[in-house]
Amino acid sequence: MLLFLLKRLAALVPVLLGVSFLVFLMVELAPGDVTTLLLGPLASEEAKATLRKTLGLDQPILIQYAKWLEHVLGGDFGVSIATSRRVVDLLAPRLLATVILGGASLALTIVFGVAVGVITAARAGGLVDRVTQSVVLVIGNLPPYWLGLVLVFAFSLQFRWFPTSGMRSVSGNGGVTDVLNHLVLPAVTTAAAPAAVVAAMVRAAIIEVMGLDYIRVARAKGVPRRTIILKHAMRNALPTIVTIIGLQMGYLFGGALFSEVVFAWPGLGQLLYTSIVGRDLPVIQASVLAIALVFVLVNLAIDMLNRALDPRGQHA
Amino acid sequence: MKTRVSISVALVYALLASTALFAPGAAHASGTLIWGTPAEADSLDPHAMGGWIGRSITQQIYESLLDEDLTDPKATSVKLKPALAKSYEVTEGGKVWTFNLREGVKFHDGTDFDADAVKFNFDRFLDEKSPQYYPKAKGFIVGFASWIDRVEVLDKFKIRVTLKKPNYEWFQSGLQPYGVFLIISPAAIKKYGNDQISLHPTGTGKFKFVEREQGVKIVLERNDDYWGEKAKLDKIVVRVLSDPTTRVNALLANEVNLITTPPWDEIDGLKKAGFQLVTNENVPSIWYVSINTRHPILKDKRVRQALNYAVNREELAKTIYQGTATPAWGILSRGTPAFDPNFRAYEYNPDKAKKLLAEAGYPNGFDVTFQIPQYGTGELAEQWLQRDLKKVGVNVTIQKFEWISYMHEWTQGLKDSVGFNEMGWGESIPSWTARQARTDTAPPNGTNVGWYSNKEVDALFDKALAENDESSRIRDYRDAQKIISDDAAFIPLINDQQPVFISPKVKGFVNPAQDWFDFSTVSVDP
Repeated sequence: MLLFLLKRLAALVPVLLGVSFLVFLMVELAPGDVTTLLLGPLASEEAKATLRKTLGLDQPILIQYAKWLEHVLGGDFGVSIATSRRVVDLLAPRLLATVILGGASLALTIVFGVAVGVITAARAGGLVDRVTQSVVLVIGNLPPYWLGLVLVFAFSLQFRWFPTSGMRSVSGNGGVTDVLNHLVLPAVTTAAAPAAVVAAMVRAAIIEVMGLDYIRVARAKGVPRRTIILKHAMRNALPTIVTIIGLQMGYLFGGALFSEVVFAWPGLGQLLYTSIVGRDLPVIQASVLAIALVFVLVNLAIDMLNRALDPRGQHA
Repeated sequence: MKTRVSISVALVYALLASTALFAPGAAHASGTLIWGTPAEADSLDPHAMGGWIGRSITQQIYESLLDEDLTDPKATSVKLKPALAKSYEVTEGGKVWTFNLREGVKFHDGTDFDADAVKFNFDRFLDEKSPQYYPKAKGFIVGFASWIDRVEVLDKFKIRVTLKKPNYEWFQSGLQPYGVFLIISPAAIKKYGNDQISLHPTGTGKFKFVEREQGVKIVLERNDDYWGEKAKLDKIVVRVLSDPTTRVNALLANEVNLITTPPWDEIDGLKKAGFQLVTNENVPSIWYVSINTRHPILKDKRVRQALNYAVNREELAKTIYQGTATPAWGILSRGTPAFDPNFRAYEYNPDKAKKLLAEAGYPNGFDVTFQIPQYGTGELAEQWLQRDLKKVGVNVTIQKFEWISYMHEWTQGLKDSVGFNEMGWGESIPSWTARQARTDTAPPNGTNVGWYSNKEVDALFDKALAENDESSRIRDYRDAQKIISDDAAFIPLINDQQPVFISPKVKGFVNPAQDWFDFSTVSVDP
């Protein structure tokens, strides 16, 4: 297990290197550069050229990249060109906000996805199952942007239960309950479609396992249905379920970025967008790396969980 | 089993519903203005910034020697009033500006304001040898700075600026972005450095900077040590709500009490919900198309005139902008003394357009490229233009660019293969128009991106700047506008009225004839 972990962590390095170099290249190739941001559109070409030289932007891409890498390895992610703040100071609260939103959405996805999946599998073929499946189908295809606005309309404007946007109330210092209050609608919005997908697939996985011989034997032996589903079937469906949840991570993050826009949730998505628009390269690099890192680590966690669940090494 | 599952399900629903217990009342303190903006303000270093949102914020924190009076909703153009200078005179035909400064004024950090502080600010972008010299500031404020020959401190509260050439509009041009001549505390610049002063803005204005959470909010509070009449509000909070529907929802839920740039299709709904729409038809904000006078087809004046006849500006203003804009007939924007409300040109006449095109040798029209920036409202106005031109046979291909890429393209001037592009801009002084239309302001020396050149027009602009008598100056600008209009160098489209929605609790808000606001007259009921 440890060896597996070390091998995977070692594989992280080329991934991050590749991602960061690609980002560098793309920002370089995009027309317009950061000197327009730094000096304004009315500055002379001469002034921009001088500044480019000062910033080392006239050097070949590989040299610029190497310099950046050198700093990063020393823990220095540089200074945001647009805001003069240290990139780390800019990024940390945003990363935390996205992790909070992503984490809450993931929790909702798992809880509701698995619960609904199990319930409908237990009642497969019945009325509850059929109705729930239709509802799940609809929810699974709702665009998160639209769903977010509908939830705001219902729960913020009609019933004044939740705020419409932001992570904290304006008067600040609300503490954990304040953040939780702001978290409900964006988390539900982000989790809706992935939860629906998880529910449908958990249902399918459990039904499939329920058809296996050992389950039939258990039923013949008179083991209570509840125990069969929650203990025997789940145990064997778990690797599949974990993999399914892992596969939803991508959609979850994508949905989180939409939710960040609709709910003005101050996360990485918003930061990445504004830094791309402003060609703020240090911030773009750090944001993309942070996102790549989170993705890779989450996938690693899923894989490790699967290995723990099924030490034979057979993955669903 | 059935009962157990039902209980579990019920518990889950109960958990969800219980979070409603956390719902607080909408957060608003009495006397706090909460403004929802469509974008993040850029830097709060006035010498090195450019956006209109940031300009509103710097307007509260900083002052200049003279300021524009933004508190009269009826003014057709904003006038200069004494601020950190209690009086001034302009001599030698507009070349020498002498300011008598106000005594007893302190910056927000407690340090004193005097002529040395003003010189310190000038040196930041004029004197390369000064320790506070900041190339970024020079790049931004170049329009204002390039006129200056020298700055002299005459005594502790008197300072004189000598220009290279006469320019009666010089000082007011320094109050318009890009790069704005507002007075920053020299002690603060020395303490934080040129790059970091934007994070600790320190001026003399009616509001002090409290904090900034990048991308989330900016907080200001009233300056109770202000030298003049204090502001009414306790606090101002500026919240970034980039999605237009989210911005509207925040207003409906009383989480903000003022929003700018409301989406056009929500205007009726907001009015019905009891929110007040405040516009000003004299805001200097004009949307215009610059035509490439070097383009193989468009270099013919008749073709450019045809394009102008083909666009139905009045319908555009009514239909797309839902009454929050008026048609623009000329390139002199509203909000300046030179604007002529009676000027009309190229009233919608597609038949005349076709006739002119035929005369110029294009009876079946032609194909042309139109470069536009992406600004998130669906580019409706541009599609309207495309449709109008199609009706007279001109096939427009729209090339859309993300904003910075667009600025990069735009500032280089129209390439020969591109027919026209567009911009929304304007200033409270008519020399803004000159900068778009002078021969010597073609790129890279300026923003005459269509390469328009007419010596007669240049001469009129030169004459206007050196003209002390305002009515003569106005006449010069209007004469220039007539020629530019006849040459059809631009397609002026609409004048934006800067629609603002406020909650009924907000009192005293003025939407001025300028692109940013003064909040010192505002109060918010509890």
